[in-house]
Amino acid sequence: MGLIEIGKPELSVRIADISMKNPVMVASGTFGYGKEYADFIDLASIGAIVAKSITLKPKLGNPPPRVCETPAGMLNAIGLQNVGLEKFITEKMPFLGEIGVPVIASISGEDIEDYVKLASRLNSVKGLSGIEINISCPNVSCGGMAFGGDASTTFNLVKSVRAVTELTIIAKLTPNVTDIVTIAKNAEEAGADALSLINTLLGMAIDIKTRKPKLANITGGLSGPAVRPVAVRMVWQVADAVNIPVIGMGGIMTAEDAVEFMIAGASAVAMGTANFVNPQAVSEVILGIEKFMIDNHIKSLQELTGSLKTL
Amino acid sequence: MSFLVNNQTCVPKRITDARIISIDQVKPEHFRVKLHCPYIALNSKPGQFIHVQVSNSYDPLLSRPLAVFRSQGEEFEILFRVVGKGTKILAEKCVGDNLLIVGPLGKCFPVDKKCQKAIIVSGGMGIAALMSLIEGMTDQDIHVLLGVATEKQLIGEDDLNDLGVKIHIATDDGSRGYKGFVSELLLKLINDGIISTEQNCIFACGPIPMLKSVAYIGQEKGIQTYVSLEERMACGIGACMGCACRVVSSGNKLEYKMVCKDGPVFNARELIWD
Ligand SMILES: Cc1cc2nc3c(=O)[nH]c(=O)nc-3n(C[C@H](O)[C@H](O)[C@H](O)COP(=O)(O)OP(=O)(O)OC[C@H]3O[C@@H](n4cnc5c(N)ncnc54)[C@H](O)[C@@H]3O)c2cc1C
Ligand SMILES: Cc1cc2nc3c(=O)[nH]c(=O)nc-3n(C[C@H](O)[C@H](O)[C@H](O)COP(=O)(O)O)c2cc1C
Ligand code: FES
Repeated sequence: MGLIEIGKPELSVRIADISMKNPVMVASGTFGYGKEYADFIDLASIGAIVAKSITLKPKLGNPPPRVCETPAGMLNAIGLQNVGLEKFITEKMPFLGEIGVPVIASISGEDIEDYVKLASRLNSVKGLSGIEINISCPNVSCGGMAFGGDASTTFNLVKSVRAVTELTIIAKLTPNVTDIVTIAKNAEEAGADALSLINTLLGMAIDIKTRKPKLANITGGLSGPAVRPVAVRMVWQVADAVNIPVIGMGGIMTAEDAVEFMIAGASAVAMGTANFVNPQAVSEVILGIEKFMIDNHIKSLQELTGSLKTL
Repeated sequence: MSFLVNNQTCVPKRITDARIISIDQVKPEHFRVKLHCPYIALNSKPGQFIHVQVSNSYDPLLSRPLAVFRSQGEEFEILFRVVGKGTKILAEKCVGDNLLIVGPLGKCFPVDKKCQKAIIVSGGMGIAALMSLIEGMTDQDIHVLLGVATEKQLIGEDDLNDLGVKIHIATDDGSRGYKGFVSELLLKLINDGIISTEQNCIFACGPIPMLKSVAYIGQEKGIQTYVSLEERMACGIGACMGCACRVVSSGNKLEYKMVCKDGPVFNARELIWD
């Protein structure tokens, strides 16, 4: 047994220009602007932080109720309530920028113009490592998913954003499409540096006593363990078809779940709903991945990513 | 100063283990569970709540928000009504089991120096969130109004008797006390001169229609009114924007605040009721 065998496995990973000390990120909209979790976890230990999606102007969000529980999951229709671009820069970035891990802003708009304005303003913001383009929110009436559902719109949008920023750009894809691979290829061709998937699956729940929908918005986005098999399948399909890194998410609760996504082809993973269930979940998954690698004599993440075997 | 409550310093939120010391079925649907959990027992303030992981399976997935009913030393109690899957699982736990708890969460009831007396209005399970506030009050002129659908659901009366406060009961079906809503009883007690409006504050918790009526009475009678709201939650710590309630912003416009972080206690004047 050589020394290498007992050495620590290498957890660091690079997503385009973003260097992360481990592959576990937090998913947009589930981690606030970082501060909310500071009581629970050492924020500096996270691979990267993706902030709540922002719009040009502050957004009020949808009327309540906005969330409801479903079997092994939850529906949400927040409606992108956020502080808006300027407050994000002046009030949220100073804290996020000091943490010492890559910070990725998530942007959402009603038309391509919005995305371009957001990206060009963010391009010069200190402490920001990347921009995630949210073309996949199911809970707003215009924009969001309306973009991510169409291949040529995805192409035009990503290309327009590419033209105004040198920051790493990640296109976040919606699972609410018939052919995610075509959308993914268009995003890649338009200049996306990486892809995030999946956003939430459009769903609905009804209170049978009142016959009213459980969400005021009627429909909402499904997340949590319930969506994981769908997400793993999509990550596998997309990773197989593109040459840029894929960030896998959807129902990751444990290190084993994260490893599953990596085997399917993800270079990094993100955790969302798990943070609500256990605000220390990210730390536990990071430790768990390391342990899995040690136990299975895996020295680097490259040995895992896309290592799916056939039956 | 009539309140022991200090809302200036809030301790960091934590994940902690709580060991079940006892479980009492106080009414057919109501359970009182005593937990050993020093961090919450010693640090939680009246009005704050905890998030309880009822199961470590994924169904139910999310934690359940519950008030800290009473605390003593390193122990505290929760009081809840079984209304669904999560509370049913909680009621079936055993003495010695450990629960994962996140807290203390939210803002506590404020110290209002203008208040020398207090009117406490509870609807249904509301008393669960109000008892620790009453416990912390040193003033003698405290009126507690308990409203429930029927006498079978009346809870907390013994605790209140021990605390030596004035109790007024309303039941929807008239099986005990005043027949009608607790808000109607409040109005009657004020109009009859039994409760004075001078230097008084209302603290209320219960269903929305009741809180709305109480807030209206408070406004009409010029009594400062604080209410504790409930909303469905996911994170419980202000991260997901899930537990929105309507408030009036400084510019007199509609705005959403988070019940878990900006509340659950709100000044009734802030809220938009429909
Ligand atoms: C800050 C706060 C403090 C609370 N304190 C107490 C307490 O001390 N004692 C107590 O008995 N209850 C309390 N509640 C309500 C309690 O959280 C719910 O009754 C519980 O979550 C229901 O879970 P369940 O799985 O049994 O029901 P579910 O199957 O989830 O739902 C059953 C019914 O309860 C409603 N419900 C679910 N979650 C909530 C919620 N968070 N708020 C209001 N209604 C809900 C649902 O809409 C449904 O009608 C509190 C709620 C909040 C927000
Ligand atoms: C309450 C909530 C809010 C979300 N908000 C956003 C958002 O603002 N932008 C975004 O791109 N994704 C958002 N998402 C989607 C998550 O980032 C993630 O893609 C999805 O929830 C799947 O991962 P999970 O199952 O681990 O939660 C949100 C999800 C939840 C549950
Ligand atoms: S429950 Fe997440 S913000 Fe209140």
